[in-house]
Amino acid sequence: MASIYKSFTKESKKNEEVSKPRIRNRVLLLSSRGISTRYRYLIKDLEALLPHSKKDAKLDTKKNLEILNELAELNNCNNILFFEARKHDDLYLWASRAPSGPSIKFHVQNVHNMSELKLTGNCLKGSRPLLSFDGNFDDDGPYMLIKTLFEQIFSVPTGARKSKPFFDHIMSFSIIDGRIWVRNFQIVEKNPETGGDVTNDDDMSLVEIGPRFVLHIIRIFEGSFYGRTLYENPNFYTPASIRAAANREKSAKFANRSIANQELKAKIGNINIPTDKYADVFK
Amino acid sequence: MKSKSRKNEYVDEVSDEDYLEELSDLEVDEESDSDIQEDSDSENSEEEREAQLELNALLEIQNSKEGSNKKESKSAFEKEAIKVLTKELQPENLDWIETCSLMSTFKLEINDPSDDLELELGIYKQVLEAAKEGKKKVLAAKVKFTRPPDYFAEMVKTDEDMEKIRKRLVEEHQSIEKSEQAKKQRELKKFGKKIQVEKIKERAATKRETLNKIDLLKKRSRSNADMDMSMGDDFDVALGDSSSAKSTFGQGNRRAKQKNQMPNKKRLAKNSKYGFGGKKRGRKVNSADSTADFSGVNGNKKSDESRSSRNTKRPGKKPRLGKSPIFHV
Repeated sequence: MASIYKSFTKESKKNEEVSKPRIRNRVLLLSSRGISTRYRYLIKDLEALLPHSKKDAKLDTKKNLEILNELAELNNCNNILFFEARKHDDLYLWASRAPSGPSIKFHVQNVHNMSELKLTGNCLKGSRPLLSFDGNFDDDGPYMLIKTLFEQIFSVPTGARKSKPFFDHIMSFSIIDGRIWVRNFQIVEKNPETGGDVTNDDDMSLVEIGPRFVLHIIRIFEGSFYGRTLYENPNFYTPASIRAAANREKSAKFANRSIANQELKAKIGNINIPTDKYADVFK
Repeated sequence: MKSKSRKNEYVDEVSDEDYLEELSDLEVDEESDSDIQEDSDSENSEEEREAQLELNALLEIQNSKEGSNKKESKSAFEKEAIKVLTKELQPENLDWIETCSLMSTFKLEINDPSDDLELELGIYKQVLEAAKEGKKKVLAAKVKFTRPPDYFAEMVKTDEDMEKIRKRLVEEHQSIEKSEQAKKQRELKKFGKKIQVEKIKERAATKRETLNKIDLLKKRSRSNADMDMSMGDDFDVALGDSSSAKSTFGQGNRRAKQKNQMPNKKRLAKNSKYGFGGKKRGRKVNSADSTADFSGVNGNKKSDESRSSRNTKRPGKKPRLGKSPIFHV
């Protein structure tokens, strides 16, 4: 009887689970060739934080990115985080929903790794994070789409293979100055003085774990690494163009100075000093 | 945006300079805290100058583009398509616990993105609110939130990393303490010098005063010696202050008395006994008269009678009656 009862109750539980929708996300993490050490460490940090991710070897090509979809399929992944390095210094991030899109391209700035000594927090490897989005994400423009995509990528699905059953860190996304600032904090529920557990929620505090970086949105594509552009950021200028403008400014400085010099010379040449009548009176 | 010199210099622990440089890099903000750093001042200023240049360039591009409105017309924004895609991406009837995503109740507004303090504070506020809300929601979904203290598992940062971090924190703390102590010491030194100067002054003042007093006393005594001959003692009463005047007055009086009085009787007796004045030598030497003189000897004193009559018992306990037959008389 007992076994029959057990089997029945189990069945009912299973049915409940089936009825609830769940997300089974896996993320493919990879970079292009020519990536610098700092950015490589950033990918390493993300891999540690996302137990449902699969890190792949560096991608050789920078042109035919649609190949990534096949790669994702091979790895059983439905999300892709692809870090594209250009000119060693510039890092771009593609966040994509694998076979059908959308995909979003960001410019990554101001990268700080987890191993930096300023960031003193720590958390369990593979524990599920809370995700905190700034109120600015709540619009009908590109930010809502970004939010839903990030929810898929950065939230660890329940019961992921390497995940831990507790919540001890929180990832935050805030929109400041038209960019998305990403941070990762440890949730400390201990009194810093006594070391005892806090009973009051007000005593909760946060310590940053890292990594931290800033994403500047460039474009949203309808497909995954292909398709028409749904959104293009008018305020984005490529770092190369900015550098070029800066160089122009530098050279303009020199040109201005040389022109001014020439003008001064011409001015001095044009002045004719009147002759002094009494110059040789006392000679 | 970073300078090419920093291309290959990644180290595990990125130094403060790097950290600050990065900050200045990011928003290309001209006034980051980088001037705190002493070691690489020149380098930093160069970085800053470059950052400033780039910022100016960016602004210039923006201005020129906005003027011609080229980019504006080019930029695509298909709202409807994005909305549809967003809906497609979001699975319906999903439990909150599946994503654990929280939207903050307020919109983060930072006036000056180059102001680190304001920015960090804003982000912290947003995250703390989310953490508190998240804990409630997680517990409501009947999922464990807090990690029990006896649950040990692999952490994101290894123990070695944490040790490094701890060391750095301790060092930082120590250096702050040291500088504070040095500051205190410096202040104390300043103040100590003041005290020392004051003490020396005080000492000099007291010395001067005592010297003056001594001089005065010397003068007075000299004048007293002169006055004794001619005028009398009343003169120095007017000279000194009241207390000293009293005492000198007393002395003078006694001296006057001594002059008038005869020596007292006791003194006279002692003088007769031990002598006063006159020749001292040979006074104690025996002479024929002194040998024959028996006036100082009491012949009765050492007689046997008197000795026997004396009480020979030693003072002590009184014997109790009927107890000691020896003492029984």
